[in-house]
Amino acid sequence: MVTNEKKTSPILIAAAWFVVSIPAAWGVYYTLLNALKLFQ
Amino acid sequence: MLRFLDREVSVAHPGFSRWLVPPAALSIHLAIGQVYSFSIFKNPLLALKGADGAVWNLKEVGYIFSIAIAVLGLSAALFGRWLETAGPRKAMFVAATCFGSGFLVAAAGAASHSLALIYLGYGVIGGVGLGLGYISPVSTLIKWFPDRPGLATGLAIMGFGGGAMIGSPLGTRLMVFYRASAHPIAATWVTMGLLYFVFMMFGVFTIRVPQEGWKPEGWVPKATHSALISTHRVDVNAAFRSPQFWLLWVILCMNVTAGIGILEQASPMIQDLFRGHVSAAAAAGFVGVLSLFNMAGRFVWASMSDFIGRKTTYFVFFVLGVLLYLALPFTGTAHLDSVPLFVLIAGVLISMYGGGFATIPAYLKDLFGGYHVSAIHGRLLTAWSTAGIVGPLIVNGILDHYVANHLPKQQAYPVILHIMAALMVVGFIANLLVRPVAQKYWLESARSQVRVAS
Repeated sequence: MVTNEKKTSPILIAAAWFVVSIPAAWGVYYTLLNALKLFQ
Repeated sequence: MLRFLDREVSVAHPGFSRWLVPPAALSIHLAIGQVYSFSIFKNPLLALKGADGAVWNLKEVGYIFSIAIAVLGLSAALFGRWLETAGPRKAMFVAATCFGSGFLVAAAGAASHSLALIYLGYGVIGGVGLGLGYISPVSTLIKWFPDRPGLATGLAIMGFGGGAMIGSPLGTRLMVFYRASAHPIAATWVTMGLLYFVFMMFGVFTIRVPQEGWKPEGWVPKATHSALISTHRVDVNAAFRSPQFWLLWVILCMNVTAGIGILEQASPMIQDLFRGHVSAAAAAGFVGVLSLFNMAGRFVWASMSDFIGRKTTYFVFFVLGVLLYLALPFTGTAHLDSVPLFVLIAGVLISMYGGGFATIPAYLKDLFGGYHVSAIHGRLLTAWSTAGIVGPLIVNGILDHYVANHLPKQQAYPVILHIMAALMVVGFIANLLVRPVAQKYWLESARSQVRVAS
């Protein structure tokens, strides 16, 4: 039997994760900078 | 025109990767998590003057956040059932529209110096966006990840913790950017409303529901599993009547109330317990450390619960919680005088606070099945609203008592932390009492299948 299955491109998956990771990483970076004040 | 929002249109095609679903959920949670950074607007709002020179006081401004959180709990409880029929895409779209437009209405309020408009915009309209946005991806994630429900919901709810980390620098920078304009706060809120709407739309367009009967490739449900993991379905109204729902309500409420005990007073607590050793800037750094533990805890504990079980995870929270809440006061200058130990213990406690939020959807799924899990989760979030009122009441009530009686404030913290330890004991007992859901609560079809089989 032939199935008409179209697999999601790994590039599309990586791009989707990129879209949400960039702002999240920006936020974590600022929080880390703030957190470092505790050890100064 | 809006037919693309319908559940039937959002059914995934064969071969669709489930790994596109967590980013969709994250885009919603990273946006609505902004609510936890609302405090950055407090001072600018206090400095705003109306045309007649009128200003708002701290209490009036504080209500904006309180209304938003209260409406979050209410809307999650009220609209959960609608979400189950409308599907996640429509619910996420409504959430994005409410959250984005809430900012715009609030901006009109800031520009016209109308607190009522800000309450309506950020508090009520935005609050509906928060409630719907919080629960909308939960059941979809659980359906896509039946093998790892804790990991999937942990990822999304971690986003809510991370949202404050984005909202705080974003809001601060935008206010600096617009400082020369006539209405810097209004301009900031308009920009944030539009940015968040667009960001949440990414989730709306990316989310898909699996086809009926879909299972991960190669995954076979375990033949034997814990008695607490159900294979039946429970309707939200039936779940609401079951003792398990209320035990989980107590579990969440106790865990959150205790966590708020630290979060609410994090900065003054470290400065009071280590007087002269920790500056205000370092205390702000401590708040940042706690945010990181909160976010990481949501992912780590929820993922771990897939392996050790939900009941065991909460068992760890409550046993470790009692010990750590009792130990925390001994790290102060009067005893061990160890700032690193204080930070480490507080960090672990806050990781369990976040972990409690992130693990509860999977616990609900275990007990009631995935059928109405978002709606049940929505109703359970009233425990969060309750904790949001009770936690600060306990902490501020005790601190006010010590200040009013001219007693050293440092002596208030052991009392507060011992009360938090007692709350953990209550949570421990509630968790201990959790048993599989009785057959009378199952959906009729599931009950008749059992009758036929027997």
